[in-house]
Amino acid sequence: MPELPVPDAKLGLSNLAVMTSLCTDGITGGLCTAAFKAFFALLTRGLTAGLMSFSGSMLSTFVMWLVLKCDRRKFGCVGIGIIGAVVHNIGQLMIAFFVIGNTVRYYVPYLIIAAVFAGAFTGIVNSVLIILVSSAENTDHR
Amino acid sequence: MSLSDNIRNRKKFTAFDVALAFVLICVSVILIVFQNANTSGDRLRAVVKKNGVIVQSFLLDDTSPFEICVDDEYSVVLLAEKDGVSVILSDCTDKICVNTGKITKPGQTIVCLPVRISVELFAENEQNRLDGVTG
Repeated sequence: MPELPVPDAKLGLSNLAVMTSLCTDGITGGLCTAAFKAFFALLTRGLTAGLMSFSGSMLSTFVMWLVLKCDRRKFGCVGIGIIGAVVHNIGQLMIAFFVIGNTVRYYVPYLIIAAVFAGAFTGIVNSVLIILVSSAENTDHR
Repeated sequence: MSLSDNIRNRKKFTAFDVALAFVLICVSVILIVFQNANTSGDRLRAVVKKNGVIVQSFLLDDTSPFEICVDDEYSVVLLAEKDGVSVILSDCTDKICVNTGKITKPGQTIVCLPVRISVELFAENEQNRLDGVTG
């Protein structure tokens, strides 16, 4: 996994799974995947990480769904990914704000820059995955 | 129309994406520049918080470097020097706090999430002494 210059910033590959399930199974599937991902974070990385994962991924799934439904395709796949990643960070920071206090505000601009690049990456990979998944489904049906 | 079709019918990226990325990066860069605007000449005060509550607060001045243990539950040791403060030892699992290294400017923070300890630097002058105390 490439090391990003911001501590604790990750590429968001698990969010890719949430995005893909949101697109294939709808809002219910997306939120279930997000909740399960948070449960996994809770088991492997503890309560704080679990809560941060929960608030981040639930919020970002919901906002991505809203944008997909309502933006009349003004944003591209990259834009959806960026919106998801930035909102994910906002959700996580809300928990971090309660746990650590307002010193986390100094972290925000670095996280947003990381989110723009990570989100562009997950957005583009998600669009490729969706094309692959739907062509696989079409082959099955024949 | 399903969300899957929604994604497939979208362009890979649009002018809106570029504008969104541009605005986000510009705002972030402005924030970073604003945060790093150095109030040079001021003495630095390090404030250590656990669970958001101040547990230690000390000035970094001409005293020789000293080590300070900030927590009973976990051993977290800070090295306070004239020009900054660093975490040199921590019981936590990820060691992000130790890897952060020395912070030297007002506004910089070391956070240890597993142990819920944060160390923040403030510029000590008349104007923001209250900010420094209330955090």
